[in-house]
Amino acid sequence: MKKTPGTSVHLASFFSALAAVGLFLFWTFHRLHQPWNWAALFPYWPKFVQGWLLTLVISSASLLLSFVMGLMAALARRQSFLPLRYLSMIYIEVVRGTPLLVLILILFYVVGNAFGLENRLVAGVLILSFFSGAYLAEIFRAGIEGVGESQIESARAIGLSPLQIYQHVIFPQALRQSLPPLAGQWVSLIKDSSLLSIISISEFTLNAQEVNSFTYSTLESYLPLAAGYLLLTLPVTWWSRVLEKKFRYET
Amino acid sequence: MFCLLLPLSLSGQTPVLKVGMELSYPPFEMTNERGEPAGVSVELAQALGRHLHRAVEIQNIAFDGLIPALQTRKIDLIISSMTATPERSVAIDFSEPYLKTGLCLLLPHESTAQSVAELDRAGKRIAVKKGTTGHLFAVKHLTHAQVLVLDRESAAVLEVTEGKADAFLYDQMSVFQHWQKDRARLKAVLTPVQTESWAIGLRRQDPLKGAVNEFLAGFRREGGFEALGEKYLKTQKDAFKEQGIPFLF
Amino acid sequence: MKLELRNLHKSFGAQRVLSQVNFQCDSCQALALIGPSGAGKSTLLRLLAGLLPVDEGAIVLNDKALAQDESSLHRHRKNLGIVFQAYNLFPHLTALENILLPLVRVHGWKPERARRHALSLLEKFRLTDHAEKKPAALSGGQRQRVAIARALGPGPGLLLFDEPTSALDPEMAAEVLSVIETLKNEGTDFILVTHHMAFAQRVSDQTLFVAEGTVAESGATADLFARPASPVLQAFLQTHRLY
Repeated sequence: MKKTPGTSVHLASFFSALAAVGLFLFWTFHRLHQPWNWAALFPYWPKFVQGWLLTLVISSASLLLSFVMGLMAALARRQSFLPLRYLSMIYIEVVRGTPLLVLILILFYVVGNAFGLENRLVAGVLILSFFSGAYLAEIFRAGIEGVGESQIESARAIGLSPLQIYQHVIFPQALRQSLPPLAGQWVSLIKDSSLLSIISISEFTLNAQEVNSFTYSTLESYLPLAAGYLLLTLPVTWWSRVLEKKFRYET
Repeated sequence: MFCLLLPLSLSGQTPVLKVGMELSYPPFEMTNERGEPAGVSVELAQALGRHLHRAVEIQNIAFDGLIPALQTRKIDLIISSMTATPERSVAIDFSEPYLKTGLCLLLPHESTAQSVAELDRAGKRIAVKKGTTGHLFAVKHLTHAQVLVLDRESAAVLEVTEGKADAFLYDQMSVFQHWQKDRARLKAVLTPVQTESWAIGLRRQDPLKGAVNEFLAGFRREGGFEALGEKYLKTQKDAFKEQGIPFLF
Repeated sequence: MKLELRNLHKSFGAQRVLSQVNFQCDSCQALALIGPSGAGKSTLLRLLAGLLPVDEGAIVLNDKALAQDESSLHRHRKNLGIVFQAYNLFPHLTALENILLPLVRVHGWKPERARRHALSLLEKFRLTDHAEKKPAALSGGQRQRVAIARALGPGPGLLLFDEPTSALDPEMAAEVLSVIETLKNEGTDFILVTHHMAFAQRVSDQTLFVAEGTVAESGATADLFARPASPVLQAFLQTHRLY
């Protein structure tokens, strides 16, 4: 019988893979023949930090709001009251079929104007949540529908009310099923927030680009940018894997 | 990034001269109805190519990506109405200036502001285009107003017409053009906030610099700039004369 | 229990599943529903369970007619215990939590009392060691026994079984059947849909033979099996002699 590799083998393999990637990156950068100018960045470090923090705030707020929007849209789509169902379907299909860039421009300059929404930060969070909510709605719908009909029948049989069935049978299972695509969508959200720079929200990417404008140190500005985003996305991925493992069971 | 090859009769073995510019800045850098690069800077580049006996290839690159492109040798020259600033001179080298212009203000029609100092107050929003001298000026000198950094000229103008910004700080040429296009909703104060000179961008210690400066001097002597001004900037010339503002070139 | 079925009809869309179902028994404890697959037994059980509304006709249980509006049916379901062929238990809850859920949420028991009662039921079915396991970690037979415990929890007046052993291998089926037999001996009323003819014969007082959407024959179990009157039933029992 084949022996499964031990921890030391895993560690060695991981670090050698990492080293290979590092070597490759080093070689490609080296070929640029460009002098590095990290010193130029130093006076601007507050901009990086402020931008990172704002991206963190925007992403977190949008995470929560889009969760609510997505859940509402997914439930609306299951209603027997047809106008609500169609409203939800239109929202989901239109938003999922339009590039975020276009959505930002239309929602900010046209819709936002109509409602007199001045605060860019609030507008940014609303737009990003609106966008992400449509994707979450489909993820939730798949999760909900993944709970077998027979379980619903079983739940009715023991006397649970429709609300109780959602609360005790459907949601717990749907959420656990949804965890992997949910985490994926959240990571996308964090990265997509960079697009809000086009309406001059002073988030991480815009700040790094500004520093680049002032110092002409493009790579030196963008490498911390990549690292900063990883700092935000890796915890989400890691946490979702932890939760997946915790909730794993055969259905 | 799209490139067009403009071969000369004498190309042969000499390498192509790659010139970078952002083709969204009429009448200096733009595209014609056929989608080909056109404008003052394009003709200047072609004239330079003839002088150097090299074929010219125009590359369309976003303004704040021009210097990195030059540094990484994707292009050989920048001819994109770029101002020679001390900050930029750290990264790259510049030829002798070929045009004098100034930063000025594009305002909403109802605005009564006459100078940028009036607008440097808390609650005021000044739009600038990322990476331009307007951006650098705003960051350096506007301490009270909020600076809105946008990556497209069109977005900045939209912000002013929609009342989301109180002014757009940009160069005289564009401000004038936008004002002309929408006189009902916009207003321009053309007196320069800061004068600046445009020059051709080169890599540091590039031997090409001598030849480029030689070309510029010759081109001016032969009335080349005069001709370009007549061809592309007639209306601006006259309007500026009317307002008593010194005109470029 | 006293049960009367008056001229029941049920269709799904254009398809007529049950028609003119009539039956009466004044005091039967264990009622077996037998018949060929697809004859409508499961549908009939669901009508009796209040999971589906009747199209025409009436169900009268213990002299009370079963009203067909959803809230009456809901109330009716609370007084029953139902065990399906499979997928009874909720996979994200442990065996104990599955039993507790209806006690606490539907019947409003205090958590402490519910817990004590649930554990005693698990003990009765020799499942105490499995209380904290999720259904995936249990065998088919154990899952069905937990399902029966859950159904019994609130102390229902009537239990309904829809082919509880069809998805089990013979050994586990025997476990479950012995539980049902115990319930019979303790005096619990139940209605059992099954294809285990021998078991049906042993454990039920009355039998309903459903064929092609209607009651082909019904009566006391002993008589029905010994002397089937209708040719349909005769043929059916012939093919099922093995059981």
